[in-house]
Amino acid sequence: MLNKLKHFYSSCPMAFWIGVSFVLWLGVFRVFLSGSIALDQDASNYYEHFKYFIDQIHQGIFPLWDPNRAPGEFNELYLRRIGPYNCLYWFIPLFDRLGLSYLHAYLLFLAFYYFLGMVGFYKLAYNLSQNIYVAFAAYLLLMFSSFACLLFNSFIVLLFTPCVWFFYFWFRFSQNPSRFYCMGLTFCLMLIVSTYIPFYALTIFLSFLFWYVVFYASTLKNFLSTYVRFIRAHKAFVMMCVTFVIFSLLPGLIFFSEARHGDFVLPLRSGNVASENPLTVVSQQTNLGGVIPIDLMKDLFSNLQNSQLGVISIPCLIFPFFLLGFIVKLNKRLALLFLWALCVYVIGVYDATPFYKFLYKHVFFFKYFRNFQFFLWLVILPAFILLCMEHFRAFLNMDLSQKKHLKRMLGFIAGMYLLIFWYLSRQENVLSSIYVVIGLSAVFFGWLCLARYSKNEFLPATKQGKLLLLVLLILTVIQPFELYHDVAKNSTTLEELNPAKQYPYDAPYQSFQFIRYLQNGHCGQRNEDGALQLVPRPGLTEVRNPPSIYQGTSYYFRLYQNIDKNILEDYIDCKLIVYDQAQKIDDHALDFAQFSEALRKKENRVFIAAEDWQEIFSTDRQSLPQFQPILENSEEFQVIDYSMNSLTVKTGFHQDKFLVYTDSYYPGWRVRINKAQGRIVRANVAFKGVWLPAGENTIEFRFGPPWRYLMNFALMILFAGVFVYLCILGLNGISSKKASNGA
Amino acid sequence: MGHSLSFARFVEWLKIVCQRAMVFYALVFLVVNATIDYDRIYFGIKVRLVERIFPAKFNTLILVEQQEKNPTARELMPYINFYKRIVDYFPDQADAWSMLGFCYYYLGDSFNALWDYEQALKQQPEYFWFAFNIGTIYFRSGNFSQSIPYFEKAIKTNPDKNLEYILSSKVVYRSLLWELPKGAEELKARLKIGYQRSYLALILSSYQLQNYAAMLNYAESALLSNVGLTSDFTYFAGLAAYKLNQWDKALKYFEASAKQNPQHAHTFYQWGLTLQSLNKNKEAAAKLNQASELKQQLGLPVLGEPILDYLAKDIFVKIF
Repeated sequence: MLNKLKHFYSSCPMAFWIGVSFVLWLGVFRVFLSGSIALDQDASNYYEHFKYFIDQIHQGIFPLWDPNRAPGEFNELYLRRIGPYNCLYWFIPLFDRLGLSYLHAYLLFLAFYYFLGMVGFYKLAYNLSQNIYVAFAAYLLLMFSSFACLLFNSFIVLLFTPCVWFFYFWFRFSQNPSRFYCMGLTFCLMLIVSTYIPFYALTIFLSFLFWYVVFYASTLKNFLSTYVRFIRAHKAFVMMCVTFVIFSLLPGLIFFSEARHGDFVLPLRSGNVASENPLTVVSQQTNLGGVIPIDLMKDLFSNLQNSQLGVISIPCLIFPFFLLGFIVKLNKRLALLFLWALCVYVIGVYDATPFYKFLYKHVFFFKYFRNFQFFLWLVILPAFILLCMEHFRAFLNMDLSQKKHLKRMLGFIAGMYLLIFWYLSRQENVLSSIYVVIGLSAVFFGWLCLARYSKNEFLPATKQGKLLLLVLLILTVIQPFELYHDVAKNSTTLEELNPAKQYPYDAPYQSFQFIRYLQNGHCGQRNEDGALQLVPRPGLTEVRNPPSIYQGTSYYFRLYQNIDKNILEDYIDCKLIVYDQAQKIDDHALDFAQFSEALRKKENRVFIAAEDWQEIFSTDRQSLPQFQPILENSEEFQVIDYSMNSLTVKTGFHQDKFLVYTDSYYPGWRVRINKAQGRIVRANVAFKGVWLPAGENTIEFRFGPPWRYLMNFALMILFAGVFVYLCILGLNGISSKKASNGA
Repeated sequence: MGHSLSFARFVEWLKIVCQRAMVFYALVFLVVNATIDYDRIYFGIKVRLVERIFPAKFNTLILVEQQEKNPTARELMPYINFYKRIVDYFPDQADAWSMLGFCYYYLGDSFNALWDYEQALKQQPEYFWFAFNIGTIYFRSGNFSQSIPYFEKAIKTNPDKNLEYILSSKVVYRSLLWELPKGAEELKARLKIGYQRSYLALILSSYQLQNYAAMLNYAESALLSNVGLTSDFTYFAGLAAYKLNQWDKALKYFEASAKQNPQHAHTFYQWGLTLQSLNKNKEAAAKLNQASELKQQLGLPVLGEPILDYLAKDIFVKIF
């Protein structure tokens, strides 16, 4: 076993160190990964999106609609958020199958996806520095930064991992064009463009390209000619890659164009901005978000005991590396990294500089995304680490063979550490691990100087090399062990979480329920005659605080704005309602007071939009004063099939009726009555309705055209295929490299 | 020669310095800084820094307020740090000042608590709870004469504006409202109790200061303001009239109080004493007997005036 390990280490030492550090990382974040800490903010929402998506795909259903988000929502936005075609997501059900609970499977997946991103960052750093120690330190510093906390607080890792690999493949492709790198580039691009906001990646790429052109304009010609040569030599292959990327863009483009129809709204996101597209965001302000630097002089080391998820923190080892900038000569790479990060920062502070306003006005995609604080994690933090590591690389390359150089360097290091300790002494409540790391790092730098003076070579196989890697690992890990222990302590545990905020899709939701069970809603209770009635749920207050709408259909949002929330919520508690009377309404001149009163009194009268009106009911027909809510299956009404995209019911009323399915009316829903195409009617302003003939009928509601399902499944297969092909190309590359090394 | 040599060395040194990465970072940063509106940035930083130490849960403070928990200094410190940070950055946040005062009070530091509540009251002179809490701190430390102006100020505030103010507090009070079982709906009931307690404190303070005319006045005002506890306030009015030797008035109030609450043992007791003062001994004995029976029946610890001390425990520092 030990021999095998030794053999493994000698063949790929860095894989060993990267693996060990990941195991340590798992140890540092064990409390979070155990699931006992509640997922916070966006992380919780994304957990829901994943759970819902994977549950449905598991049943062979592509979930284009979500009837569980009352009163039914177009699910495309949430699908775009996660980018549903990523085949790596299938590790979640795989872990689930292996015996983990869904929550643990999801958390483990996040950890591995994060690890994958960090490996990408290591490779990128190595590609830039050509030095394994520098790359390893960069990898450790990013991995143990509070970026990891964002796994439990945000979704940013879903963007970061493809982005970092995109840059890696792009650099490698530019240096050494091959099918493997081209396919890697394609796969990353496919992942990026299949989300609804590829604009973070686009901004990062364009800003980098700008500064690259500024500093390396002379190399552009070479690169372009390399690209052209590759394209000429692999025309069909390149064409295939471009086609794949375009195909991956389709769902996003379709979603974007559907949004322009105005059938759904995102009021919280778009604010009061006047735009034809609800995806437009209002011009952002600094106090509402964006990249705000932490007050470096006050909070970098102070009171970290109070840190919480989402707060930026980097292992303090980075600061000596940064201060090496006082002795390191400026080079193009440093200037590019610094200016790139600064440029993104300047854009990211929103209205504090004129740049964002300019871009919002003149660059189309700036109108469609917000939350620029993510740039802190996607660009500024990685670029800062790479910049510090470039200092480290330059330091390692310095000539310290002469005694006077060594003395000067030791003097500088002593001064630097005096400065750091003086600064630390002025801070409040500094973590003890920070003192330990800073103290040990002083010794570390001293040792490095002496080793350089003695002209020791740092090869990973040598003792010196192993020691250097080990010291880097230890110095990086000490502070996170203490810090993230405090962060865990300051976080809300799953048990402490308000039950209403716990993960809703963990509860059974797949079978049809006649009553919605809204937070403060109703439940069914049998009366003395044994009939089921809708009564307020026991033990709940009458106070209603309905959540504000994040996404909804425009019709439902209109209702939400104009009628009492309690009445509306009471009404949609019951999913299926049968009426005997109908009234034509003019949408533009609707008397909401009258309409609201009719809902409150449960009047047996449905309001139908003029464009859907049909004179079917005779005026002298029998009718009860109140509508008939369907609370369970009966001889007259049975739900015979239900999925997230469809509902099939069987009816057997003795006279014509009107059925309202209190699920949002939305284009794309179709109805079949007795297997013949019927017509969906917009009933009570925002819901789906259908005229029911007397006698036995089978009514089938279904969402989405077949091409849409086909496209989505085809994309899933395509992504999986491209990934498998990429792996094959990668493995071929490794084996041919081994063969050439052997030869 | 010497000068030119040192100048050349200086230029050489300057050249070396200018080549350092850190110098470049600093220079570029200075240039870029010129385009940045620092007021906006600083405002953003302050908001973020406050968010950074935003406590994950506030239920401890609610438990403390409801007298269900005796907090330790360790439990209160994160909240004190949080509110301190807010008032450092946003000194006009009266709600944060008041919460800082609240934490200090339950930490046992009444001096700082009073100072913070005073800051809050300066910002929001029309807000009930700031005046109430200052009055309460004085009241509980036995400074009755100092407490009275604050309770008077409290009862003169407009209840609707108080509710508006609480609901407009987006950071400080909102997080606390989430911890209340019924959320914002509790506020009205809490405010009503607050007004009730203010009148009670005014009556008790006047009683302690033996200013029975003021006591009568406050009890009558409480009855007019319709804040509840009618039989108690009627009893206090009767008691004050009794102390002022206004026997007829006292009898009228005791009769009314007994009518409103036939179980009000203290009323019957004090009624008996009043009748005794009027030498109506037979009737007095009947009332005193009735009081004694009710006392036994209801398991009351004391009768008559000591009830005032007993009621004083209901007056404590509240959030809202």
